[in-house]
Amino acid sequence: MLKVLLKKQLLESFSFLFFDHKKGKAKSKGEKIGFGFLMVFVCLIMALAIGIYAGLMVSTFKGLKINWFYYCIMSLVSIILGVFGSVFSTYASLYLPKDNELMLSLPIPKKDLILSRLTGVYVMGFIYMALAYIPSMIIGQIGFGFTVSSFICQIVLMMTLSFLVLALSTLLGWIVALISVRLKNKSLIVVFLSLGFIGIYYYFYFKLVSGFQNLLVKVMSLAVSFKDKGYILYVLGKAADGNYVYTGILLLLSILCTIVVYALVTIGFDRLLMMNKGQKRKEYNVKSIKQSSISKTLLKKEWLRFYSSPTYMLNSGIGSVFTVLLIGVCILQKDTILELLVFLPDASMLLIVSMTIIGFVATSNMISAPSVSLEGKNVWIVQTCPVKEIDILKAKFNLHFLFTIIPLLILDGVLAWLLSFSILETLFIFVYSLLIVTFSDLDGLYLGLKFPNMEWTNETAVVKQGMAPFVALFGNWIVVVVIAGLYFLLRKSISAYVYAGIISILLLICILCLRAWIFKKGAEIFRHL
Amino acid sequence: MLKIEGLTKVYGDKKAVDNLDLHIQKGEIYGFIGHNGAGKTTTIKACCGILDFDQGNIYVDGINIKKDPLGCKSKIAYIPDNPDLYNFMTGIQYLNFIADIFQISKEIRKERIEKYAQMFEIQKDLASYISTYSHGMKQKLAIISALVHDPKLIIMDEPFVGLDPKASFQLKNLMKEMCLKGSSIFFSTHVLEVAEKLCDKVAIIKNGKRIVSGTMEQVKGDTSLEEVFLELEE
Repeated sequence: MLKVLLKKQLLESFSFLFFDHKKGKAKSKGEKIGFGFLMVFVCLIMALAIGIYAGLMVSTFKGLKINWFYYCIMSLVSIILGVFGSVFSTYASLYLPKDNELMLSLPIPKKDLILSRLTGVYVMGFIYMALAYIPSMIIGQIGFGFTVSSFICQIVLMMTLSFLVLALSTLLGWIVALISVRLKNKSLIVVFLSLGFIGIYYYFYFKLVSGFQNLLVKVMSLAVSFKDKGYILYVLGKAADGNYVYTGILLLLSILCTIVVYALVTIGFDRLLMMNKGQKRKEYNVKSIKQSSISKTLLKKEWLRFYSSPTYMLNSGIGSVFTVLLIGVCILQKDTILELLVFLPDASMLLIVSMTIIGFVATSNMISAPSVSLEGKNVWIVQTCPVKEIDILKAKFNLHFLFTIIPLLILDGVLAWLLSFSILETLFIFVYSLLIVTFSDLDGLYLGLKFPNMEWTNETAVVKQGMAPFVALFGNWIVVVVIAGLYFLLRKSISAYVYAGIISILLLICILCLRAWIFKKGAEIFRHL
Repeated sequence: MLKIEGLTKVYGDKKAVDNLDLHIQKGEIYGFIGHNGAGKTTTIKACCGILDFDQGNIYVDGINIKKDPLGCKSKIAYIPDNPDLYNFMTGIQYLNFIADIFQISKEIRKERIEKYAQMFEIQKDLASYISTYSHGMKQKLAIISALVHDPKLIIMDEPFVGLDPKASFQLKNLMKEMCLKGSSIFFSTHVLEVAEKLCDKVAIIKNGKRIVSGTMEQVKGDTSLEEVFLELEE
C-alpha cells in the first residue's frame, strides 16, 4: 500500500516535468527535453550564485580560522531555502491536496497516507536544501582543505538537515493550511502578503551586497556572538567541520523532531482534513437587499470580480500600487529627488519626465484587457439580461478608469507641488493622466474583444498568459517610451508645452477611434461571444 | 408567447436545427424532447438571444428577437442546464444583481426573494459565496433569480437535473402556478415521466427537425410518451 502511495505522490510532485497543467495534456518529447535542460540550467545558476558568495566567505573565514562559522551560515541558508521552497508544496500536498476526498474514501491506513505525503514533502525540501548545501560544502572542502571527518559529517548532516527542513516545513505548512481554511478576506490578504513578499524580496535583494560586506567586516564579533548566544548554531557549524559527536547529537535531534512532527500531524490530520473549508455560515440579512441603477450594478459586478481574485488584483492592478508607492516616495524623499533633477540636461524636460512617469504607472494597470475573457462560462448571464452590450463594456471601462485615475490624480498633485509646476504645466499633467488612462483602458478593452478566450479553466490563462493583457501592457509601455524618446530627440526644435499639446491631441484622436470601434464593432463582438 | 418560425442554425456543414417551427401559447407548459445533440439547447439559446441563427424568426410576445433583443430579454427568464453563476458573488448579491438589471423595486424583490428562498430552503445560504454551493443549490438560485423578475416566458434547459425531490416538487408546482398567472414555460427534459405529467404540449426533435408536436394527448395517444419517443427515435 505504502509503495503505491509513494509512487503516486512522487509522480504528482514531479508531474510538472512531463505534464503541462495549463494545457491539461502531456508534454511532447521536445518540450520535456527543453524543460529538463531549463531546470538543470536554473539549478546550476542558483548553485553558481551561492558558490560565488560561499567562495568569498571561505577566503575571509579561513584566515580567521573560524571554519565552523562558515559551515553554520551555509547550513542555515540551506535550511531556509529548503523550508521556504517546500512550504507551499507542503500545504498543497500534505494538508489540502485536491485528492483528499478520494483518499479518505479509500481503505488506506492513515499512517500510510501521512507517510507517503511526508515523503513527497521531504523530497521537495531535500532538493531545495541541496541546491544551497552541496555547492557550499564543496566550496568549503576546497577552501579549507579536504578532511575525511568533515566529508563524512557533511554527508550525515545533509540527511540531518533535510529532516529538520521536513519538520519545519510541515509545521509552517500546517499554519498556512489553518490560516487558509479560516481566512475570511482571503483574496485581499493574499494580495497584501504577496506584495509584502515582493517588497521583502527586493529589500533583501538590494541589501544583499551591503549586508554581505557587513558580514565580512564584522565576522569575528558575529562568530563570538553566535557561539555565546546560540550554542546550537556553534554545534551545527562544528559538526559540519568534522565533529562526530556533534553530528551524532544533531542527527538524533532531527530524528526526534521528525517523530514529534509526525505524531502531531497524525493527531491533527483528521481534524484538518475533515474541517469545513468554508467559513462559518453567515446569517442572511434582509438588509442586504438593496436597489441600484443598472450602470452601478454592472460596475459593482466588475468590482466584485476584481476583488475576488488575488491573481487579477495583483497582475492587473499593480499600477495603482506603484502610484501609491510613488506618492510616498515623492513626499518622503523630496530632497533626494530634487537633487537628482539637476542631472536633467534641460529644465523644460521636467514636464515630459513627469508625463513619462505618469504614463508608466498608469499603463501598468490592465484591468480592462482580461475583463472580457474573464466572463468565461458566465457570459450567458449578461447576454440573457435586458442590458445593452455597450453598457456591460462601459462597466468594464469604468472599473479600470476609476481604479487607475484616483491615485494618479493625487500623484499629479504631489508632482506639481514637488516640482513647483506652473498652472499650465499642472494642467498638462492632469490632462495627460486622463488621456493616457482612457487610452490604455480602451485599448485594453479593444484587445480583450479582439482576442477573447472564453474556454479557460484557470483564470491565470487569461489574466497572466492572455494575449490581450500581454499586448496591452507592452504596447502601452512602448507608446510611453516613444512619447518620451521623441521629445528627447526633438527637444531643441519644439517646446515642451507644444509637444505635450500635440501628444494630447494625438491621444484624443486615438481615444475617439477606439471608442467608436467599441461602440460599433465591440458591442457586436461581445453579443456573439 | 413564443413563436419560432423556420429556425435554422448551421455549424460548419451540419444543420443543428433545421427549419423548426414551434408555437407556445400564453399560459402553456411546453416540453421539448430529443436525444443528446438533437438541437434542443441550440434552439433554447437562440430563443434567449445568446445564439445567432442563420434563418427564420423568433418572436417573444410578438417582439422579434433579432430586431429588439432587449425587449425580448426583458420578458424572458433563462435557466441553463449547467448553472455557471458568478462564483465571486454571494447568493444574495447575485439575486440583487439580477433584480437590479430588471429594475425590480426593493420592496417587491424583498418579498419575492423571501418567498422563493424559503420555498427552496436556501435562505440561510444566501449570504454564502456561490462557489461554496452544490450543483443543486446553484440550480435553486438560478430558478429564484429567474422568478425574481416575474417573467412572461421561462425557458429552461433540463431544469430538474441536480434538484432534490422536494425542490423538484416545488418547481413543478411553481411552473403550474406561473402558467395559471399567464406566463408560459418552454423547457427541455430527458425525464419523460415529468414531461408527460406536467406539459400541456410537447415537441419531439430529432437531428434538428421537429418530428412530432401537439398536445400531450395528440402526441402519446393511448401509449406513454416514453414509448412514442423510443419508437420515433428508431
